[in-house]
Amino acid sequence: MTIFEASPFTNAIVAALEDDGLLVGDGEQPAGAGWQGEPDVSVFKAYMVVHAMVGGLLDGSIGDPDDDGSLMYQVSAYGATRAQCEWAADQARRVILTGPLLVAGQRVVRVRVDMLGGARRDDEVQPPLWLSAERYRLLTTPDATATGS
Amino acid sequence: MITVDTSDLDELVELLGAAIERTPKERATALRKAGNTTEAGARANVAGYTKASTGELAGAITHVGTDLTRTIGADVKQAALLEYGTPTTGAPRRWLTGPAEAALDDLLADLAHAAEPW
Repeated sequence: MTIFEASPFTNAIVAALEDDGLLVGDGEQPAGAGWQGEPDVSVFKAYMVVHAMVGGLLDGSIGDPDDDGSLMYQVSAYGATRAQCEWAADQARRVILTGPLLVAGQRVVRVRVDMLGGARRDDEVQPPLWLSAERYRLLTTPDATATGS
Repeated sequence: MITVDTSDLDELVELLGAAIERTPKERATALRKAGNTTEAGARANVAGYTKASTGELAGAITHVGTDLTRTIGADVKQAALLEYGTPTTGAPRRWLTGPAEAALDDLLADLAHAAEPW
């Protein structure tokens, strides 16, 4: 009996975004992102942060009741403007939905957008940032060809 | 020989008539239950956060709607800040969508039951 592991899927999402050349943080702001000097004067490098979310569930057959995973993620995209924020969110969506998200021994059956993130101005920081908090649900099952079952 | 007796339709009409009267009440009950569960879960989540500003959020959780629709939320800025996270408030915390998702399964089961004609 194998115990379902969630972390490889989060790793795969972060890796796919990084491989596409995007500035992505694993639960935190990545190095080199954001304002490159004095805020509001210097260049702002758009970035995204991947969060593995509370929620989701395990399911499966009677024999293997916890084999299939439904995992939830939020990808928060940040920009200095609405357009930059949405651009980052669009890039993240393109990568995550088209994949491939590779996890050994597992097959990612589908990734779907659970909620489009829109674009919201965060006035808690000055100068304000724009945030798009998009949520995804990833459905996975063991790769039968890999396990030989 | 084939016999077709349509008199059973009268009984079916009677059953469906009863279901039509019952269904809105059961829908309202199911929705109220799911809404109350969601609000209770949201309040419990917010109560677990230690920042002083979350007290305002806890006090602002409310709902609007009718017997057949319900919108739950809190009209304060902390609502979105906590739910989606920001660089200053930290990682997203599903204080509202978490309980709502959990209540949804029960709501769907209750609605399916309410839709049964007998």
